[in-house]
Amino acid sequence: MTADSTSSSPALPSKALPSKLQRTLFQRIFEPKDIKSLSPARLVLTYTILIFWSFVVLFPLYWLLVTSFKLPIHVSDGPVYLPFIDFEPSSHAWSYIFFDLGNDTFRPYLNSLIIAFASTVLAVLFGSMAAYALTRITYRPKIMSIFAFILILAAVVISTIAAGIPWQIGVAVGAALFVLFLLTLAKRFKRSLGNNDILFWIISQRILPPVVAVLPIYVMFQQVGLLDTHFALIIVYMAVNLPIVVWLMRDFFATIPVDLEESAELDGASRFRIFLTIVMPLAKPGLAATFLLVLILSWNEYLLALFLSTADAQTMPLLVAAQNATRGPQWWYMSVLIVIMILPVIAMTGLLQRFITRGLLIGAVKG
Amino acid sequence: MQVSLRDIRKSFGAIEVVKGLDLDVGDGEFLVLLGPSGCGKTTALRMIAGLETASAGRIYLGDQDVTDVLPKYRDIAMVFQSYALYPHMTVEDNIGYPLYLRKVDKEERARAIREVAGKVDLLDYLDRYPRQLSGGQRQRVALARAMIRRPSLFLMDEPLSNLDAKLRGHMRTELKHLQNELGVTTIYVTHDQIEAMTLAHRVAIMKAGELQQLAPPREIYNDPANLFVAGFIGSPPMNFIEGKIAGGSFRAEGAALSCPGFSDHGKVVAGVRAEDLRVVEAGAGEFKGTTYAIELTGNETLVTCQVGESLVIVKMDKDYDEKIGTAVGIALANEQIFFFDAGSGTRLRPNNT
Repeated sequence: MTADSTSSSPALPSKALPSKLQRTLFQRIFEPKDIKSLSPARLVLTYTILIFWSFVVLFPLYWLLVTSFKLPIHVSDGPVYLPFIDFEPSSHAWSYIFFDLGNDTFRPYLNSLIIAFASTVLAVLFGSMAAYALTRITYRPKIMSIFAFILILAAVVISTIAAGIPWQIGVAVGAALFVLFLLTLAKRFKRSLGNNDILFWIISQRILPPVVAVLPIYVMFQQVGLLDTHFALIIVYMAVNLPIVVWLMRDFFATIPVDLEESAELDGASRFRIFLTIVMPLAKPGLAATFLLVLILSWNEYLLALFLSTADAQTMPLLVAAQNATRGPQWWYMSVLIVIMILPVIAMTGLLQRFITRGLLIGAVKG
Repeated sequence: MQVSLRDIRKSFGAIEVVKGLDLDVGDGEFLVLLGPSGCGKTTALRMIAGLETASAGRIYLGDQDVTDVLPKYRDIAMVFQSYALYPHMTVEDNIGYPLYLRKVDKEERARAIREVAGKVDLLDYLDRYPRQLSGGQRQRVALARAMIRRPSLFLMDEPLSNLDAKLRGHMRTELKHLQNELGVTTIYVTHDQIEAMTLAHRVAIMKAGELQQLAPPREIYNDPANLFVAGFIGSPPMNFIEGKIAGGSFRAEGAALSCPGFSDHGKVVAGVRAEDLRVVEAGAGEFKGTTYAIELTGNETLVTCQVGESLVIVKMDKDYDEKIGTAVGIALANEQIFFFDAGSGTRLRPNNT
């Protein structure tokens, strides 16, 4: 596997290339060759393997599609694959989902679209702002200031709940105390955190499995009366996905040369304008990839939606799962739902994939 | 626009990279900050631009104190070493970006873009992207973008260093012409002494964060303030011979010459340029040595001679030839010789002037 294994062979001529320059056994076997330089036999072999693998990957989708046209009898009879040959296709499942269920299909579908897209747009927008700030601005929050903030927050919460102090007064006093602390005592403390600590803290919010937080979140939205609304799900999805956006986008922003931003600054642009007209266009590949990932995560989310929505804000994953509820798994209905559910994501992928290209920065700073 | 720096300092952590820089740049002047890498010249430039904040000292543009003013309010244009072109914009949009930010209307902007693009010969490339341009063309886009809004001050951070030698010479000429035509005060950072000598009205030589000499190029060359400046400027570099001054004459191994007016000094470095020396026959001249190498460079011959421990380069005309190892004498052609204190490097001057 390593370069040394080839050079140590005694059969090598004395004037062989230095071992560093030779292709290793590993490279000779696995390094891809240009398709044009392959011999016909290898070409056939390559395409056979590729076609086989495409079949493996695409077969579940095909099965989904044919199942949506099967009668229950065809499903329970054992596997049949080919419409018109193995079985007679029927559109009963499609007409049930679109006409019998009608609004009960369209409402969750629309809910899913609204919630997934809105939360993704917000998460990518705010997340990339945070990521940009973390790449370009050096933060030095003092450990004691963070500690004091938590302490004062706890005191405010306790005094509001236990001592019955109106929360407006509690918050005002707490904020005043914290500002006072920042202006006076905080100056004596030296230990501080850096950008990487902030980033880790943001990512740590995602390390916790959502199931741990779902009950408190449920109670919170119950208290403010926002259960089963779009707003609740959008906010929660945004919060859950923010860490991923920050984490991914930070790496993309770090690749943009600082010179460009300094140049724009001297040209007269404000920081926000630099972000919008210089940084964001150059981060398009990263934005597109992040947008897709977050969209898919929101689109498929089940657990939080299960707790936070009942009817009005119900999303597609819940509807799909419901087909397995009372009368056993209704594979045919489920298949129809899944087919229409994957369409928007496929459309977005097709739309965004042209942005996911490399080489956008060529010409920026190279001589 | 005049620029004044008053005791500017900058520290990164414990390291002070600019140590109290005082500088006055006149209106319309072309000032070059010259020094080896790491001497703080780029940091000084970035402080004038506002991209770095000064640790101490004040910066004035005209009569306005801009030390704490944001870069975008300083009315400064800067050309970066890397050009810093916006890769997602066409040449036209790149050049027009400063005007776009100032909300200049579209027609006026297009007219201004065509005007500056004409000046730097880019009219045929307005629709292209930076990635489709050569190094020299990118350089000109960066220049045009700096010129378009007629700033009160140009800052240039080694703008020619990424170009090949031929193009660099051409752009140098263009740059000098444009600066003269626009009459905008320019501060230019470089480590290339040829650029400094050819472009500058005045050159400020820096070393380790301190200003060594601030003078017109001719004066820098003819009257260096200290050993560092004398050694940094000139190609081939100035010859240095260590010795001592006693009784009105300089003595070193293989060298003896009178230097009236200089008081006695223990350790002295004598500096003399290659073109101020002549190789003469053995026994004549102020220095004796043996030829060490003879290099024909085209229009002249560089004769390196060993004088005592040191090598002395003499510029002779292109027909000169001699065997290596011949004993020769070296004479001072004109009285251009400088003496420096060997320890501090300060210039020693005769007492009567």
